[in-house]
Amino acid sequence: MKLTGVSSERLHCPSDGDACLVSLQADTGLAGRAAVPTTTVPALSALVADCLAGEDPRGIVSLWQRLADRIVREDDDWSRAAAALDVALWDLRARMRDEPLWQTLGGDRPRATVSVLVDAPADELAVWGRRQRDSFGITECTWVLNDDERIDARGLRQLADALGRPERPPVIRLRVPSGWSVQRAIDRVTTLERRFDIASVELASGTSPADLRTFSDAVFAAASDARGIASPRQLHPLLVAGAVDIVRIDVMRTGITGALQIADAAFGLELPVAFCQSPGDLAAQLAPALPYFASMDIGAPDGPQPVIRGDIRIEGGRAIAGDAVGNGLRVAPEDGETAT
Amino acid sequence: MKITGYRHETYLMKMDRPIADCNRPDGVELLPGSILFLDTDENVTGLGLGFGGEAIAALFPLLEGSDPRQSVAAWRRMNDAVHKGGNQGAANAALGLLDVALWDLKAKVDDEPLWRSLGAGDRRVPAYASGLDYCLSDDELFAFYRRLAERGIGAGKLKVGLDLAADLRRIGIMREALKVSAADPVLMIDANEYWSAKQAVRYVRLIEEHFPIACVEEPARRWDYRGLAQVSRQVRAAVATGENLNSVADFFPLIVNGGVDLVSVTTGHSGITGCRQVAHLALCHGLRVSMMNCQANFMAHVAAALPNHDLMEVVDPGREHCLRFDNVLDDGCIVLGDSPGLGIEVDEAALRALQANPPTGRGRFPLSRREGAGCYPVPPAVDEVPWRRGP
Repeated sequence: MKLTGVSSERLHCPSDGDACLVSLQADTGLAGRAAVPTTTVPALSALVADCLAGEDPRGIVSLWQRLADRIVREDDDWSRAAAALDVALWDLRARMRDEPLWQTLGGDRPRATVSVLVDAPADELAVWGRRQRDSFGITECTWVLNDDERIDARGLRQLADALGRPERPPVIRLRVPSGWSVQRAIDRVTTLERRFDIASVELASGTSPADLRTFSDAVFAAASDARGIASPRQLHPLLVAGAVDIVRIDVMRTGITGALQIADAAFGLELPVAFCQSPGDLAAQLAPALPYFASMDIGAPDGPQPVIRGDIRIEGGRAIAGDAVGNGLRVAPEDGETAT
Repeated sequence: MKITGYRHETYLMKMDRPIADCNRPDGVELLPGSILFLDTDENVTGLGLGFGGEAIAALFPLLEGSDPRQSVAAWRRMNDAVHKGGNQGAANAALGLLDVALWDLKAKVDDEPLWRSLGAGDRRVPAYASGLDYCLSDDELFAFYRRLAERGIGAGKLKVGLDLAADLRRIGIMREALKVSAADPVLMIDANEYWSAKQAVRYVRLIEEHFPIACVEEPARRWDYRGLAQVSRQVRAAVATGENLNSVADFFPLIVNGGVDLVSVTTGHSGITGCRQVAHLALCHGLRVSMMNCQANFMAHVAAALPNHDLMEVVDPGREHCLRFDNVLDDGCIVLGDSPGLGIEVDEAALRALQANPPTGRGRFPLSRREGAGCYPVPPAVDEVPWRRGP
């Protein structure tokens, strides 16, 4: 079996802009799929030509290493393209076995805890929160801090009341906007912690390990990097500095292979992992194959639907995967127009 | 597909040659074996090889009735079950055996060799020769390393620790034997935790005045991360350790405190799943790993799929008396075949024969720690090793 090429299908969704569905083809007629930003398409073709064309797709670990070695910077279109190709390779692997990706990875049916990013106007928070709880069982949310502390306090009070259940208290997570100093973040979080139980705080990308450690030592909540780890190399300084309490992973930058490696390393240091939002809620497929999976970010299930979706339903506060073969990514044709 | 049952067989074998380190200079000839057969309702059986296994009965209920393809989920259940006592001793041995059998099953279900299932792109695993040779005479030592050098292996690891002059002589013998394969053989030494950290620094430094030692294995106690870090700082050789730890959790203090330069990995680290966790922890810290030796070189399947793997240890003492396996040593590598799973079959008749008539011999693995360890060296007596009787 050999990889023969890659094609991309550009999709437009009125609600969330352009997306691209990549198809990595093998000579057997099977193809593995992944979702990528449209800007990565040139890099995709180049990486396939340089690293994958003619290779046996079953050598995923070796192929990922080849892709990773080809990447110079870890946060650009090339790295996202490499990650997408790894996602596509795993999808292909699962299709070869005619099973869902979560089983290929060795997991049982995913029931991954979700945390919904708060995306509702201030005057609708209570209604929005109750809808997440009552319709989907969601009790965890991520709130982006506001310049005005009073807005934060009011918003968190509404969310805590709306999401909480007698048997399951709400889990409140905070996200620090970019541009805030670590001291400003400390001041705000410590103030809020006098009134609320904050589970974790995501600091803006670019926060140094030293600042992350300073923040973690100053607050009760667990600290993490909002943007997520992009490679195993990025984890080392964080681990050495004891800078994070939760390792956030962006599977669209690590690929699945990289995510598995990072998650294993985090387990070795007793650190849970959480996943950034991913197309089709792909992270849910990985959850049962990881030793210390904590939660994954999702958009509101009743919000605008993306054009690329996964075989996932949200129920009881968890992302539950179906039995669709592969990673379950599909295009919802009724929402978009296809352009090559 | 569901897991339906298991059969656990133990036996004793007499290796084709004794193995020894400085803790037991005269060596042992007998090696206990443990084979787990994990059965399914579709007539596919997974095989696990290792040690021990007495606790399998306690863990098996966690697997019975489950789909064997969900191997990592099974590992999590077992890992959680042994939480209180920890991944050690009988529990860890059982967990490891079951995990290996599950991965063998997963690959067999997909009708492919395990190295493919684990995502390796190359079936060849570079290897180094490791005699476990403290009890071999100088001539036998040369013969062993020459035999493996003729298979293309250009790296060797010698057992050392009690007699500096003898160790220097024998490192030279090993190097000479390997020269048919490599103009500049890679030389490694292994003290099996006999020394204290400072004893290690002094001893290794003296050896390094004569030979470029690439790696010193277990120069201090497995848990002494400060001592191991001290050795690493004060000698030129890389410090390798980890083979006697139990799980990724044990590696945490070692790695973050700079106590290891080359991480020894094995399925003894809570199975294949646990072994990969250790390797990935090392990867994230920029460290390479080296797979330990095993029966039928089965762990080469795992090594092939580790992106940071260096060389795998090959001991070849003749311990596959009831096993048939699909890999060969060629051009300095363990070359894995295409048989499904681990590529290992059990010769049931040979197994029964060993069980019916257990062999007798000198000493039985594992080796206990020698007097004076960490305090004062006790050189081998004349009747402990042939190389003290003169040429």
